[in-house]
Amino acid sequence: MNSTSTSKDIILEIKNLTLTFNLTLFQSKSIRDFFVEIITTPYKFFFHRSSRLEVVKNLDFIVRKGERVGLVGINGAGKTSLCRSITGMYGIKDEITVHGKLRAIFDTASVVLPELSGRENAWIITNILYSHLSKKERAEIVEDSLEFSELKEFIDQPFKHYSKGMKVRLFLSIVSAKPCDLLILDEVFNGADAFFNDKISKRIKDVIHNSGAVIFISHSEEIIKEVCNRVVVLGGKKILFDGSVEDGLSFYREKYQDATQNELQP
Amino acid sequence: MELKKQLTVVSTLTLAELKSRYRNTFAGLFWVMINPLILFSVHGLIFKYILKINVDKYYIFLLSGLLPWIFMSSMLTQTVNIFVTKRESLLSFQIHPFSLIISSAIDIFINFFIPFIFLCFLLNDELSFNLYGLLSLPLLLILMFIGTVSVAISLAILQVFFRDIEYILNFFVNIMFFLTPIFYPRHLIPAPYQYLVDINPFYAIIRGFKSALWEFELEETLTSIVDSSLFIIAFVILATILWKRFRNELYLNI
Repeated sequence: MNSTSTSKDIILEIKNLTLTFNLTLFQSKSIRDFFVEIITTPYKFFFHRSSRLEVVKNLDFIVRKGERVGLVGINGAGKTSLCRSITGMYGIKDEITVHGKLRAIFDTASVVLPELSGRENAWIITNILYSHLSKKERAEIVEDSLEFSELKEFIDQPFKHYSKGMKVRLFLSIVSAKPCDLLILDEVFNGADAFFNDKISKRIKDVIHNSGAVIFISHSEEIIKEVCNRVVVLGGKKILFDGSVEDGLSFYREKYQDATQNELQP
Repeated sequence: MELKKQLTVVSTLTLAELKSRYRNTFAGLFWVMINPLILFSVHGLIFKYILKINVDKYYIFLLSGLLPWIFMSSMLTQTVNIFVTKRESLLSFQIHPFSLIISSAIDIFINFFIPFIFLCFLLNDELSFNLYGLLSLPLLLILMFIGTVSVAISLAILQVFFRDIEYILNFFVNIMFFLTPIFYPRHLIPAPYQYLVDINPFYAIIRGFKSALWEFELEETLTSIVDSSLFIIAFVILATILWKRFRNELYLNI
């Protein structure tokens, strides 16, 4: 991307990544089904070949400092799976190297313990997301996020009584409290109510701009244009396009004209 | 650094579980105590006075088997579905799935340990105060914890793919309560079936507790430590194989 950048600027390096899943394990079976299968179709059970799904194949991908990558692709293209593998969820070590601290958020309405209050859940989420920081720094993030979220009297109410918008508001306030070396945000604006969206948008954009590099998954063309300075289009197990935001979004629209009707929203 | 991060996550999740359990402080603690205490009292009365099991110092005999059993069985049954029930947390954050199991294990261990100590004090007249026996207790507690956690990990992984594991486990645990010499002494089992007790991992650990608290026998304690360690090695290998085999698909199936 940047001809003047050096290897020191590299934050994420993916070399020859192939990500596969065993499809036979997808259909959740039961021990009872297994038992029936062994009795009724023993040959099929013992000799059938397991089918595998290749999400990405021999993928090379580098993210440098200062890059805010918009990861685009139709549903099922493997955007979230790729980001999950970067976080280490799939235990891939040799092909993926992250230089620096990584923070990744895949769902903004998740809850750890619904019976506990918003304040207590904020403490839990902060401790998980910022586990590398000191206790004092984490306490500051909790206080700052609680104030920023403007949940006021609701803050000590059980989290299970919160609306989806309120949960998102608290969650995004915590997520956007501090920048990091590599930030992965998957559909972070979904669910935030309109009033709060403007306020949180500014804070998220600030944390994005202050972070070393960002990978941003969104179905909103407008947000990608506003936030990103590079677009990567993922499809057919590989990177189909890697370049500027304008060109990337045009490529994506042309390539998936029909599929994008329900995907990217201008 | 990575270990420190995971420790922060585990301690946070444990404290959160404890907070949620002890929500009304004293009432919460009372409720946690009352469950094993009632179980212990009912078993004690039935087996000592109705079935008239002839064992010297029966209450401490029962305590040394029943309380470890309650920890192991409740740990397995309470965590078997944990990856599915906590799917939101697993999919949203970078939480290692094992952290969920370990934090639950610490929570359940504390709930086991408080009534355990309370009952030991209550029954101190019957306690076998053998120095070696008491010294073996911390090791037995550690072995019980590691063994149960590794089995819990394997079962929780399998539950993601085979959703009836939970029901089979409940059934299995109910049966094992009667097949394991918890409330009756081992010598009541007919000689041809004694070998079944030797291959029972629950009994491997329980016999150590019985030796430590009820009637100390060095051979029993050593057999318990060696057998439990062997079972643990097998369980850790099994959990590692399952984790490596199913890790990727686990996130898609929960």
